Amino acid sequence: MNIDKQLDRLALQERQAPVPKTSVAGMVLQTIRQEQVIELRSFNRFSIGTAVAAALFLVVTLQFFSARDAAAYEPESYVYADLDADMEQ
Amino acid sequence: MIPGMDKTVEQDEQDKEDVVSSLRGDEEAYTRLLRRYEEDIARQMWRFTHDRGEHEILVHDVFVEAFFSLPKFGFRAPFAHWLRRIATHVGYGFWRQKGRGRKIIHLQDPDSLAGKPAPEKTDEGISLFGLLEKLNPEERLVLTLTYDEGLNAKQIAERMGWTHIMTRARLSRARKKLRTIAENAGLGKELS
Repeated sequence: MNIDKQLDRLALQERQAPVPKTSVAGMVLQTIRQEQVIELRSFNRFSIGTAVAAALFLVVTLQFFSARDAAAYEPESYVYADLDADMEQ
Repeated sequence: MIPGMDKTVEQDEQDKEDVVSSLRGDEEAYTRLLRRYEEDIARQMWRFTHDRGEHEILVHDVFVEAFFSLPKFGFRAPFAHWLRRIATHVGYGFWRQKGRGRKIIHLQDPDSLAGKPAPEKTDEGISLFGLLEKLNPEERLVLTLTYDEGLNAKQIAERMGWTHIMTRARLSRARKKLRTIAENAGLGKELS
C-alpha cells in the first residue's frame, strides 16, 4: 500500500472517530450580551465626545467673532481712509 | 455535498426566518440556529484541536463570531455553508495564533525531522491529526480541508478567499511535506 493510500485510510478513520459533544448555547448568549453592552458603551462615549467637541467648537467660534473689533468691519472706516488718502494727494 | 450538513429546502427556510429574527434581537431564534448546527460545528472544530477545553472555546467563538457577522449574511448561500466558512476561519486563526513561536519544519531541511518525537499516536497507530500538527497553519489547513471535508483546491480557495493558483501551490507543497513527515514517522514501514 503506498503512502497516499495510507494517509487516505487515516483520514477515513479520523472522520469516523467520535467527537465530544459540546453545550455552548448559554455561554454564547452571555458573551453576546456582554459584547453588546461594551459596544453600546463605546458608542455612547463616542456620541458624548462628539457632542462635547461640537459644543466647544461653537463656543470658541462665537468668542472669536465677538472678541474682534466690530469697528474694523464698518464701511466708514475704510471708505473715509481712502477719501483721506485721495485728498492728501 | 458537505457531509452532515444535508439541509432540506424547508430547513433553509427555517434558517432564513431565524436569521431575520436574530437580526431583530430575538435570542430564542439564535439559540435555535445554534442548537441546529452545534453538532456539525463541534465536529468541524475537532479537526482544529483535540483538547476538549480548547474545542469548546472554538465552538463558542464560531457562534459568537457568526452572531456579529449576521448583518453581512446576504442570504446568497445556505446558512450552513456560511457558518462552516466562519468556522474554518476561526480554526485557522486559532492555529496561527497558537503556531507563533513554534518550530515549523521546512521542506528544504528534511533532516530537521530526524530525532523529532513521533507524531501523536492513537491505539491503532499514527493519527493524521498528529502528522498534520507538524505542518505550518496554511499547509495544515489545506490538507485538513482536503482529507476531512473532501474539498478540492478550487473549493478551498473559495472558502478562504485565496487565489486558486496560490491554493494549488500550497496544497502541492503541503502534500510533499506530509509524505516526508509520514515516512519519517514510519508510516510506510508500518503497513507495507
